[in-house]
Formats: sequence, structure tokens, C-alpha cells
Amino acid sequence: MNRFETWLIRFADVTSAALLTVVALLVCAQVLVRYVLGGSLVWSEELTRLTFVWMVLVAATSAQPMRVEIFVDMLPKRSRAVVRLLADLLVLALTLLLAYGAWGMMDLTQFDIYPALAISVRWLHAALFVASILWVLRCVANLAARFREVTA
Amino acid sequence: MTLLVLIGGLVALSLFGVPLAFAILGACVATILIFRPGLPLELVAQHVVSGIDNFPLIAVALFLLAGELMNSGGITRRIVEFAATLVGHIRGGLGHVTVLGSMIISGISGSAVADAAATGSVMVPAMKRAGYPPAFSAALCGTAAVMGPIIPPSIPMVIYAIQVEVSVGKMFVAGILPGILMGVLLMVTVWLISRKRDYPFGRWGGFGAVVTTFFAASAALATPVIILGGILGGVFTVTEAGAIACAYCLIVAVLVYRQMTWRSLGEALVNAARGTAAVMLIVGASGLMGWLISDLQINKQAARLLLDLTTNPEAFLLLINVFFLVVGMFMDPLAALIVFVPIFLPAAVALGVDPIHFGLVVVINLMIGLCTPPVGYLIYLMANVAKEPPHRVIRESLPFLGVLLLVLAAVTYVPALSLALPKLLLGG
Repeated sequence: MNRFETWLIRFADVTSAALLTVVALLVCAQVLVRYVLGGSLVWSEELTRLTFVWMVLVAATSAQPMRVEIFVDMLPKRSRAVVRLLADLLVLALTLLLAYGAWGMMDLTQFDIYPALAISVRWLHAALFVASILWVLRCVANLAARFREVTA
Repeated sequence: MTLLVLIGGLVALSLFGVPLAFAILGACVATILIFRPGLPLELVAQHVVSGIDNFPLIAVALFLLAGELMNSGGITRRIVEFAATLVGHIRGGLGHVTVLGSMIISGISGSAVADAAATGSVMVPAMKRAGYPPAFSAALCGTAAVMGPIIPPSIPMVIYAIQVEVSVGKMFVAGILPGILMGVLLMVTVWLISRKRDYPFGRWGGFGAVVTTFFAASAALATPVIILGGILGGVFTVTEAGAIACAYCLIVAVLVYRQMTWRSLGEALVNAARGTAAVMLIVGASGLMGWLISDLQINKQAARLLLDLTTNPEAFLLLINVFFLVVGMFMDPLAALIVFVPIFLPAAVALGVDPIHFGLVVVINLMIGLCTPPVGYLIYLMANVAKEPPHRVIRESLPFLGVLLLVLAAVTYVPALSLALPKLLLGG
């Protein structure tokens, strides 16, 4: 793992840990306000969901993805490297598609407004756009190593 | 045909080691391009985001965090000490302590892996000192952790309930009896093995010791009561219960047990965020798949196919069990749950199987998959803790796996085991 990748993972970890703290605090605040102050925070559910989506998508940059590795591990070394490279290229292509789609959704939803938060729904789709850029960076940083495995 | 492209593509891509979330996306994109060309591809991004943007799902992150906080906050140790004064004097004492400790911890965390990490790190070294073979204690900790997501709270049940649109509270309550049954049968098995192999037992410390350790652990023991009582009593929602559990674990760890450092708090947050992301990405991708499945009526195709095979509910459930046991051997349980439940549920409902009953059968089944080779995550985790080769741990797991399968069979063919308690406590 090179220095850029280490930095990227650290950035994703710190950001998502902070966002998760916000999510937990918001949900606690909701309970507290309901039972102690007898009121309700109308905007809290929307903000919690928005923060949660950002947390999940940013954290996905550093999370260990779930995959079935057992069959790939059975392949001989050379073809294993090729299969891994192809899998990573497919992930890269799909991530780019997600970035494109998220950009389009930001455009489509810019005039939709969260009723209680009174901000544009594009902030929701911005999460996927920003996160997919982070994933693309992680993919590309990884691809260099994959290429070396194939040619080695 | 659409069924073949979508599911075949998904299986092929995941066998080639493509991360599951992207295997789902890839198969969906291929299906859209072939059968629904001209659909705007923004749709893919839209469904991924709206699949994650769901308030009850936040409970998954919060229960993962509560489990992490419990492990780093010294809560596990207090619970194990309490369990030791209760059952440590029976033949095979520390084995019983492991099972009872796992059951109590199951009431705090909703994940089998967090449970195994908790009991494994405390019990495996302790059992080694007392003369138990490490492979035996690793096998016991791993299989006992299967109770984690059966006894509420439970992360897979939250996900299932959201997917199938049943009450999370009912799913939680449905797991109580099967979870307790697992615990009791595991303890019987421990006793039988211990008598045969002449394993040691501790001294009965008297009721005074029980009371002392009970008070030392009482702050921790209150957590399951708060969570379950709060949800069942309608005091708070499942998501709110998760947040309260986090806050409570943190307060107990910092103020009562004084074991939390900034560093371990940060690690707990990062682990919970990463764990949530790994699952939620698949949830998001399956949001797209779910839409595609109903748009192309693939679930109806699947239901017809299954109903052609059998229209007998008992035979159908047997089929489901065999299918999920095999899938569980290779695939992460949560991923399998998210991908396959929408495909099988319509057939189950058509045959009159209650969705709560069906959910419990599938969840128990997939959790057992965590302890089976070749991809049994708990086996490898525990083998690593005990520094034993995995195949020895697997051999020691066999009697316990037998017990778990027995409970699975009982839950499958005695619906009352899962359905009676929710009816009694929650009505309907």
C-alpha cells in the first residue's frame, strides 16, 4: 500500500467515524427531546438519514468489501492475477457509472427540497458522487499493484 | 430468461471474486442493457442511494457500535465473571460459562462476529489455563456466538424485517425461544463431552459470590433489559434503542468501569463505520436489484419455478434449508439474506408460511453457515484466537453444529417455537 492509499483510508476513517458520532448523537437527542422536553425535533429524522448515507458511502472507501474469494484462491498464481485485475476493472467501470449517475441525479433533484430541513435533495445524491470519486481514487491506486502482479 | 441473466450473472461475477455489491450492480446493469435498453442509467445511482436512505437501517450501525463499545469497555469481562459464579461449578464449568456469557452478551450486541470476538478473547485463554484443549474452547466460543443474532437485538433480523416489511419487534421476540433452546442444548452437550473427557469444574462460591458479581455486572446486565423492554414497551423504536444502547455502554464503560480510552473509542467508531458500510453497500445495490426483480416480474418466475418443484410447505422448507445451508457455506450471511430472500419469499407466502417463521429459519440457517467450512468466518476467527489449525477447531465444532442443526430443524417444523411468543407479547 502506497502513501496515497494510506492517506485516503485514514481520511475516510476519520470522516466516517465523525459522521457516525453525529448519527448516534442525533438519534439520542431525538429520544431525549421527546421524553425530557416533551417536544420533537422535526428536522432530526431527515438530517440523521442524510448523515447516515454520507457516513456509509464514505466509509465504503476503507471498508473491507464482502466477496467470495475461495474459488479465485484455487486458481494458479498467474490466472489469479488476471482474474483479480479484470474484477478490479469491472469495479472501476461500475464506480464511474455510479459517479455519472449521481451527477445526473444531483441535476435532477436540485429543486427538490427536504420538507423539514429546507435544503436541496441534491445533498443526498452528492454523497454518492463524492464517495464514488473516493472509490475511483482507491481503485486506481490499487490497479498499479494489480498490473504488477500480472506482469510479475 | 431474465431470471437466468440476473442470477446467473450475479453468481458468475461473485465466483470471479468481484465484491458482492458490485457483482449485484454488474448483473443488474447487464440485465437492464439486455432487457430494458433505453432506461436512463441514472437509475442505478438513484436506487443505490434510496436503498440506503432508510431510517430503520440506521439501527444496524448503532447495534454494531454498541457491540464494539461493549468489547472495549470491560463489559464482557464483568458478564463472564457473573456467569462463572452461577454455572462454573458444574462439570465442564468454563464451557457452561462460555455459553451463558454468550447468551447474555447476545442481548447487547446483534452480531455473531462481535459476540465471538467478545467471548473468545476472554474465554479461550481462561480455558487454556484451566486445562481445556484450545481447539475445544475455540469451537465452543464460535458456535455459541451463533446465538448472538438469534437472541435479540439482531442485525440480520433488522435487515430481514425491513426487506419483508414485517415488524422488527416481532422478529426480535420470535428469536427468544429458539435462542434459549440453543443455549440449553449447548450446555447439555458441553456437560456430556466434559463427563466423557473428565474436564474440570470450579468450586461453588456460595450465593454471596453470585450477589457480589451480580452487582459488579449489574450496569452491564441492564443493557439487554433496556433494549428489549424499550422496544417491546413502545418506549422507543429499534433505531432509538440502538442509540440508547451505545450511549448506555459508553457511560458504563467510562463512568462505572473506567476502561474507555479515546483511542479505543476511535477504534470502535471506525470498526462500526466500516462494518456498516460493507453491509449497506450490498443493501444499496440490492435496492436496485429489488426494483428490477419486480419490474421484470422475476420473483413471479422464481415462485413458479419453486412451486413446480413442490407445493408441500414442509418439503419447500426443507428445500430452503438445504439451499441456504449450501449458500451459507460460501457467502456472507447478510449478503445471502439480502440477495436471496426477495426471490424466495413470494413462494413461501404462497404456500402459507408465515414471513416471521420463514425469516427465523433463514437467519438461523445462515448464521450456522458462519461456523461451517470452507468459508466459516467464526471458525477462522476463533482458530486465530486459540492459535490452533482451523481443521482441529472444525472437528471439535461438530457436536455443537449438530445441536444447532437440531434447533434449526425444530424451528423449521414447529412454527410455534418462533410464532407463539410474538403472538403472546405483541398480539396478532
